[in-house]
Amino acid sequence: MADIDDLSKPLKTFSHLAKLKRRPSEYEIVSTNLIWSTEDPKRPWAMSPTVPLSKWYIQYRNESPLKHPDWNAFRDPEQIVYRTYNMMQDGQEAYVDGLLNDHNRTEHDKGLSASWLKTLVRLYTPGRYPIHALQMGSAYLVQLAHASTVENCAMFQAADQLRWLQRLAYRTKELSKFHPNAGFGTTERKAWEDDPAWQGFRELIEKTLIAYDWGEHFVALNLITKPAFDEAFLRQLGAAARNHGDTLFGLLSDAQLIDSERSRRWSKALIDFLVKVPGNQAVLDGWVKKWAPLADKAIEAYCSALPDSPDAASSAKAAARDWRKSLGLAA
Amino acid sequence: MALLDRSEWYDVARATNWTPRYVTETDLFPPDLSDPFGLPMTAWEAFDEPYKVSYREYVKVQREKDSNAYSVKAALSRSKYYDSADEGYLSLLKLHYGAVSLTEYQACQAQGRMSRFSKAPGMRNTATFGMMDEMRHTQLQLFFPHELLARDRQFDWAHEAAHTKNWAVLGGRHTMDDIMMTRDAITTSIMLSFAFETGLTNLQMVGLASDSEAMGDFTFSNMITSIQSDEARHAQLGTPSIEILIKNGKKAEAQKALDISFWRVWRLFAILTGIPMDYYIPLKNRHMSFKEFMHEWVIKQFARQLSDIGLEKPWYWDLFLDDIENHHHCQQGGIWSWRPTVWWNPPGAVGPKERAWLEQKYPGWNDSYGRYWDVITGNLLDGHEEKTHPNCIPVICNMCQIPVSNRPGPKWKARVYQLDYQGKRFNFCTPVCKWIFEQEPERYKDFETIVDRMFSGVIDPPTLPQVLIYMGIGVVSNGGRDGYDYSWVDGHRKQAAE
Amino acid sequence: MAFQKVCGKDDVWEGEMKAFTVEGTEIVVVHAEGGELRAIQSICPHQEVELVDGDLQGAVLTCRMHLWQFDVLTGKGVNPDHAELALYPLKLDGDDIYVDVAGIEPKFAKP
Repeated sequence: MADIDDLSKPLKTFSHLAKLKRRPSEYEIVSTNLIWSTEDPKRPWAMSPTVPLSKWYIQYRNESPLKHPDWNAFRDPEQIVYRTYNMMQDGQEAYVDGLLNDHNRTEHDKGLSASWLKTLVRLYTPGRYPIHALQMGSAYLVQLAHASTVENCAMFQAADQLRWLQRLAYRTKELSKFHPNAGFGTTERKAWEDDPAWQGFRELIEKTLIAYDWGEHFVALNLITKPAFDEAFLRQLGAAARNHGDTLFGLLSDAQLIDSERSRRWSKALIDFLVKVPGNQAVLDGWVKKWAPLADKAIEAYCSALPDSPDAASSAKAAARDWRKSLGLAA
Repeated sequence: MALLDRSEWYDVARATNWTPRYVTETDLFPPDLSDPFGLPMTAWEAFDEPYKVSYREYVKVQREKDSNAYSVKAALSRSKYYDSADEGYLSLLKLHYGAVSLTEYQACQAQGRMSRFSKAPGMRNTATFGMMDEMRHTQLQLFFPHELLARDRQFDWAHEAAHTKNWAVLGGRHTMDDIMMTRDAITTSIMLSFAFETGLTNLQMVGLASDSEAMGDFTFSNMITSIQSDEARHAQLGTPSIEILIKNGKKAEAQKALDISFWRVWRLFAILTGIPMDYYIPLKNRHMSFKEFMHEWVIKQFARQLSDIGLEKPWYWDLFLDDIENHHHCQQGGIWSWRPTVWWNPPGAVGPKERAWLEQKYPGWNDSYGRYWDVITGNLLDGHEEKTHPNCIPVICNMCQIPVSNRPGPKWKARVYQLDYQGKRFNFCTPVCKWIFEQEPERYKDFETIVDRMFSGVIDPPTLPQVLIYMGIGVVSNGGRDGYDYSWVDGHRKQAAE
Repeated sequence: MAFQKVCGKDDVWEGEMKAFTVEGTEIVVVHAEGGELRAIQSICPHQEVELVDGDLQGAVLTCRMHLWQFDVLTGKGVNPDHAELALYPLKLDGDDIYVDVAGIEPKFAKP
């Protein structure tokens, strides 16, 4: 009898980790095998399988075409725990505070040209809607996750989105102080709802949010929509900003891309984990093929409105596609 | 100009509702997950969470909190405290961790639902912090008991309990699944954030923190207090929901959600907190009875809060006040008698001094619960330990999943409230549990109690050893024994000799 | 009722808080940074936690339980801002602190 089965012997770690035969990491102790609603596939909750939420979990999580026999085996490649997330992001936020402070002191916003301000109010500050929608989508990944190790990554991603929603709100307010009549803080909803430049992303994001199958939601959100948005909004608008003397925007979008890169790393790890299971590759490829054209259309509509950036759309599309290719998926 | 104050930009970050065009609003916010009350989006845009925090503040403050909480943990691994800790107190810890740690994690998904499906932008943002808070509480409450595994295998239940079908786990899960896992975002905010977190969570968190402080276990009390300090952020989600519902003519709906959830959570917390306070904490360390605690921390405060937000006390308020005098005493008797079925070592702990204390705090205790313990004490004094293990099967309430029981003695009130529904008989401990069932029988009717499972063939063969295995006893760890190995009977032995 | 002597100024140093009972009413004397003295209600408007156990930084008092914050000089809530502390009239006579609790009730706020 192994020690683990001998109840008279003390344990060195939780029994579910004892088979590792080594001291588990803090990450493993606090993050693994925390969900039990997957244990009976026909009955996620004690309430009847016919109540709407039970049906929802059965249909959209348990019966998703994306399968894995052991979701709990997934590991965040960076093994982030709550404690280390805050340490990391407190440092990142201190850096952003510094950027904002420095640029405020030098009255950076005052020096922005009238034409660039028009670009910002049209293509930058309405970004709070899609950034928040990505937060909502990330929360959906949390709500229906199969495994705690996946769920935690999605939680950090949702928090990251809230981070940038608030920083964008901050910038909106700050710009409105320097330029009270430029429309900052008052015209964003109309731009998001009606400006042709945004309609591609709006369609993509609204449809992503209602892609309720967990697997499809993950693909549409993390492999398609978020990378497309980040490429267009952060990288291409960021490049245009540098060309128009908006150094602050460039530095802020660099900081935001650090979070996006983390999202891509765990997304890649999850894809690597999933494609080992026969059948998943085709399912994933199918979704990518279904969603990628919408994303390309969104990038084109948005990037065509960027000033002096003739290559923006093709660069953004290529970058998003190359990343998907690097995952071994149909691009 | 320096950095802008949070108040200057905060509302911009909450102006995030838009009118969908490429999908319908019903698809984007399905009523079953979002708002079944049919309020327009604009009504929810009035949602204002009073306690505000920015992400920037959040990561800073939480980093500092964790730095404090985990530095205590570093001391824990060197501390000898638990080597000589009182067995009753250790039972409190085991019960707490087994019931709470992974339930906190489940709450992440409930917060996720509010964050995705609420039509109130303020709720969506606050619930995003809520998810993070619940992750923190999970991780702290796994990391700490992990340190105790080497001394006692029953701490493995901190992680394993939720994966078992122990009867106590089934009870907790039935309640929590009801109030937070199978409800739309708005109802969840009333049931989880208001009834549970605002109304009753203090019981577990404030009560346990002061108990453990009295026990000299500063590691645990600091951790619990640190956890409680997060609640101001997400426990507030229910209040604005209720106010908006009332304003839009949905007071009755809000009231019903409150009435259902408050009772459900109460039945659970009385066991989780009431029993340890009045029985597991050694007499010399008790600073307040559970009843006193309920009156000071829950009744006065919660009644005031209800009237402040425009709701009434639940219709069963008198039954609730009565339950405060009885429910946990009943269940202390039941759990102790069925001690081999649980993952902690419940002390009987009703020696002469303890009984005097109980009689003082709960006048009439001796004439009622005392009689139950008289029989047990007599058997132990006579050397008939085996007679202290019941050989009957209890009736389990079809709502709270707790054995039906009530005050013994001359005014024996025990009775079962029954309901026949679709050719099946359902048993309830109280009129309230029955009322909850009647509100939505289809929701509850096919859940099998642990006893149902013995008769339906789920537990096969339905023998005690097999039931124990089914419940994780002898699998995860050994089951419970009397926490003090019956030493509390010694006082009675002396008395009998005199 | 009228002003009652509560303590000496030396009993509550700058940066300190102390709890007293005046005419049956529990109060906390706060000596804020900069020398300002205030008498405030003893329990948090949120959930009846003793404010004297909280943390005082400058003029901002943070309750230990749920981190609600108040400006003790005005009594106004800092976060959440809908909450407010009752302030009791306080006067100094030489080195003695006097407080009048008549007619003032502790305030509570919605959770």
